[in-house]
Amino acid sequence: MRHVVALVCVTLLVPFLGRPTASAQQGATPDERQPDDVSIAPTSAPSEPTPAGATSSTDEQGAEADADEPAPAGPTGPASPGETAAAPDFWSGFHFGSYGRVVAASDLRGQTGRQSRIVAFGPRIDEDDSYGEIELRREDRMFGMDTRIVATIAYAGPLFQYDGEFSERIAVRNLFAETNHILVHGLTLWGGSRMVRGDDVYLMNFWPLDNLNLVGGGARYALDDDLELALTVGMSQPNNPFQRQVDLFPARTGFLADEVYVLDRPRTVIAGRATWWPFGRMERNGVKTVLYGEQHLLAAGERRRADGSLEAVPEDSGYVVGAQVGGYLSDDHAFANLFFRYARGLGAYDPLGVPFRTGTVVSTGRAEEIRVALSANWEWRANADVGLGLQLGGWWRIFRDADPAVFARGAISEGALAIRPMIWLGQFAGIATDLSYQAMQTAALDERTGTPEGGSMFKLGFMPFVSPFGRGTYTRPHLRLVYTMSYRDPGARRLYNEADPRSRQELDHFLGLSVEWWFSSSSYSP
Amino acid sequence: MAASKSFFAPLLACGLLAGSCVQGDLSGVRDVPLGPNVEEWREEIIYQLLTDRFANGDAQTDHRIMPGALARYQGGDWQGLIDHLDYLEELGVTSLWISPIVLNVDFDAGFDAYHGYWAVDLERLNPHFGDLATLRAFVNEAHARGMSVLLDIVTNHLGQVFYYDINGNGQPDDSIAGSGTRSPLSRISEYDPDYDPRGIQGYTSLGESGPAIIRFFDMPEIFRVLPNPPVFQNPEVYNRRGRIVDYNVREQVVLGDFPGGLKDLDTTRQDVRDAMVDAYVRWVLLTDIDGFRIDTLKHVEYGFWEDFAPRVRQRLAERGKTNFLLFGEAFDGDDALLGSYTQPGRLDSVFYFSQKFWVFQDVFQRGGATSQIARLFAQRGANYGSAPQEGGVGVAPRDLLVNFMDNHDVPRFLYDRPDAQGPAALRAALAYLLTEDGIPCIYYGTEQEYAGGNDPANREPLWWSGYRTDGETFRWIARLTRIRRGYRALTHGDFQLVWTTEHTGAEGDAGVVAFERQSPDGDYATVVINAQGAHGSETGFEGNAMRLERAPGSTLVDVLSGESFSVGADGTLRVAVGPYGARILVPQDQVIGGL
Repeated sequence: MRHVVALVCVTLLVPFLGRPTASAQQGATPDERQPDDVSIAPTSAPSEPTPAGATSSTDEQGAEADADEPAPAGPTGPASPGETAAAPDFWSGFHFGSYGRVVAASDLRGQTGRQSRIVAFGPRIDEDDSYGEIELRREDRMFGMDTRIVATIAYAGPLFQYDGEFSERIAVRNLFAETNHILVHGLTLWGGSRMVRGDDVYLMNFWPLDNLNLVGGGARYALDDDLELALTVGMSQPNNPFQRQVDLFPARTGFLADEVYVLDRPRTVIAGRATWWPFGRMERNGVKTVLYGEQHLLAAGERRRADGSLEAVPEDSGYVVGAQVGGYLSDDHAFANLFFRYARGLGAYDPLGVPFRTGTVVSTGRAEEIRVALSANWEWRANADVGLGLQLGGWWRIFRDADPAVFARGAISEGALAIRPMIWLGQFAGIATDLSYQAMQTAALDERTGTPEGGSMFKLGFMPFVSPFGRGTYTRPHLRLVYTMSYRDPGARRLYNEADPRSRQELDHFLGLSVEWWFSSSSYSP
Repeated sequence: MAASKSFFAPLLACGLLAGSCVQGDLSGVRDVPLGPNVEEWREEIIYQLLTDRFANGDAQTDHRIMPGALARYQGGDWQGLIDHLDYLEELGVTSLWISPIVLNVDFDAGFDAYHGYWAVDLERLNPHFGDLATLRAFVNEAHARGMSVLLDIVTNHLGQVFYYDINGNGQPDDSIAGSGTRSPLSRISEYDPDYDPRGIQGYTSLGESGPAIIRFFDMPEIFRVLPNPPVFQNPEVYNRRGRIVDYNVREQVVLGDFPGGLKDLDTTRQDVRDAMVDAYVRWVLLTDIDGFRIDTLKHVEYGFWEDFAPRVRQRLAERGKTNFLLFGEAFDGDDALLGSYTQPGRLDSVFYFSQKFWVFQDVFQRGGATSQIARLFAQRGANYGSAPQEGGVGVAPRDLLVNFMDNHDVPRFLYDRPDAQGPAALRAALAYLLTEDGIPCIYYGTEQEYAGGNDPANREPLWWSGYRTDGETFRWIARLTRIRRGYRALTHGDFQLVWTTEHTGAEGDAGVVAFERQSPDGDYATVVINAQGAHGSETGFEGNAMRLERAPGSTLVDVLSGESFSVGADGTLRVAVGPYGARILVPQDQVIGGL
């Protein structure tokens, strides 16, 4: 029982330490992606400029925590993931947390340095988008329950100092209340609007198994030291004709017009997650396994054609099943996670995403996606002067859009792999090398050449950095100098608009200064 | 980079393997097996369709469609064609003429480029119809079913890619005008000003100011951008004389902009000719299509065709693509003018517009005398090329005219025959169309008895019909196409009129037209059609009767009814045929069962 208590305490505390990872790209819709994004397939993934932000479960201390959590601050050696399990005290009051990254870069040709990416989730070393979250939080311990109310405001660039515009894009990424030990010891309930995410592939800024943005609520229950069950129920309704149509009609009385919701069907998502630590969740070395599933539901409705007639839109549904298996060695600051996910129908589209041609596609039944991904980290602290680290990230997915077209860019196979060795020189500085490969192919032919559409890209980067809070792959902040060169094959170059100079450049350079930080930011475990 | 490549080689292999999961879909369209797919063009039966109107098979291409507004995109695409090849096979057509495929100025003055005649980039496909893989798949599937594919192309003009900045204000003005009080009142559109033999002139309140400045549009959201290939970005390659206002003036017809602001190219320039050859040959090499239907022939000087046609044939032959059909459209009733485009060194064939007006319109639609058919036919030998084009399809143009009764530029046959007998008149006309010499061309929707008037009313979506195959006209066409394909006399035989008449009233032979088809190999058929619906008629009047090139006493069988007829001792034959009826008579020993 003491273990359970400790577990819950840790669960509550970890989130407040903040998490690394995350970046905004994953959720970007095709239009919202950064200019460098030439990926032409729909990412089933998200569609919103997702915020970067915390990732793995707040209540987990295992490998995930290692992967994502900002190590406890301290110049002398941030704890390993396992070490973060040492439960800090919970205290009542107001808290502030943040995640952020700011980048300024050149392509060495006098132009802005842009991320070289032809896949949905590209290696992030040259990410070029500035993004920040400010989290305000109220925490209270009363009546034996720990309660927090979280509001996270996110800002996406370009920043004022860059373009002089008072026009940063703002989103409320979290707005929820959560309480632990309510009714039953070990039970956590929450309600509100929030990101619900599992473990990520940091090098790609990608959550391969679960990454939901929903308004709703959830419950989490730790049965023992080794098992946790979580349930999330939420809704989403992006503003598109697949789910919403608001038309004007002559006012019922008087003048002007009334707004009427002709089509008004939010998507309901029910997500379940079971996490099992066979050797116990609190062990310094262990294994973590996850079974995950989602059910997506859309009610039938009707929408109005241009001629005023009504068209029936059938009900729709879909599902996601997935699994994760990972292991971690706290003493070696090492972990590895392997992910698999299959999605069908509506489940192949992020809750904030929709089929490409929502004006004509009335069912997502044919859509499907398969994902596999890998994330790993290892650190070796030779002595006070030198340390080594190695990060690995990779993923592959195949996606077919709901549209029944045989040949289309709605059918895509793509993936990326990155390896990042780093060496620490003393406690506060290091240099990383990042080598990556990305490739994509679609079921379409290039009109210019008549050959199958697709391409690949290699990227080699160097990143000297300083880390004022000390060593650790996931210690932040980092102040970095980044240089990358990217080689595009002819197919990759053809993926760019012909008017884009990159369609003619085999080799791209990126030289930039960047900073990334996180601290005391909530995590978003289900 | 070498080190990184070796390191990632296994990963690259994995990536390609993974990629093959989707590119496996491309297995049937990766390669283009160029070659002749048609042995003898006289055996083809063309079906003209507008891709946007035939069938919607791909929701991904349904961008900005406006169902029911026929001047706007309706959603048809190449996947729709693939999906409905069974329908076309059942109809019996063998060659599919599809509307232009290249990227167009998408939208102009409230109208869409669903028809495809507003080209802006000759090297890109119109995404409303699909992508290259789908186009290839369509062509491949058509070939697999023994069908050929004809591509509609335009060489005379591009879409409205620029405007004449007549008043120099740097913006396209719908109307610039004098006050009408102290200065002349005139209203000129900078998009589409009237023809000026000097070239469109600039004009200010003080008077003319020299040639108007040409300003290209930059509206990428509707593809209204600098045209491609790049040679078309030079204002000098356009004639810049404004819109044709008098079609009787040859200079205007050749040098003027096509109405609607479609900018006329200076096709006398070699760089323009080269660009046209390169652009359109490229599409053949990319898709293995089998021929070009060429738009607006009469708006381009003969020299262009004498350059374009031989070079296209040569370029394609070098790649193994022979027997490539080049035929064109000169929207004109002047038979001599039509024939001029088939003279040596030019095209293999043209649309027989004079027949459309003289025969299908005046005779079958309006009940005119069938003697007009004879008068038109009498001009054939003099007006049309009498020898096959060098490197062409091996048949003399005069024997290979493309026959049609209506198309996308004229009201449908039934529009002018809304009466109860209209469909019967249509079927009589179809009997003539599908038994005369040349290549019959059926406009989509005819089989469904569509009756739209002028453009765009005559461009109805075919899905409105439900693709029914049990209608009387559909079944009639299907039967006639089976017969035409079955009886070689109807495709290879000479054409000889044996009965026409001036009579259009109560006379016994009123409305009758009869002709013989006979091949050198002995294939034979006589076709008798009654082009009027008031009463039955026969192939004789008073003491005269139809005289055939058949031995006296020989028996001819009507393959439509099964009735038999004996040629008289004097070689004549009187055959009665009902109102708007038809008979196809073949020698008894040549009858093919089951057609």
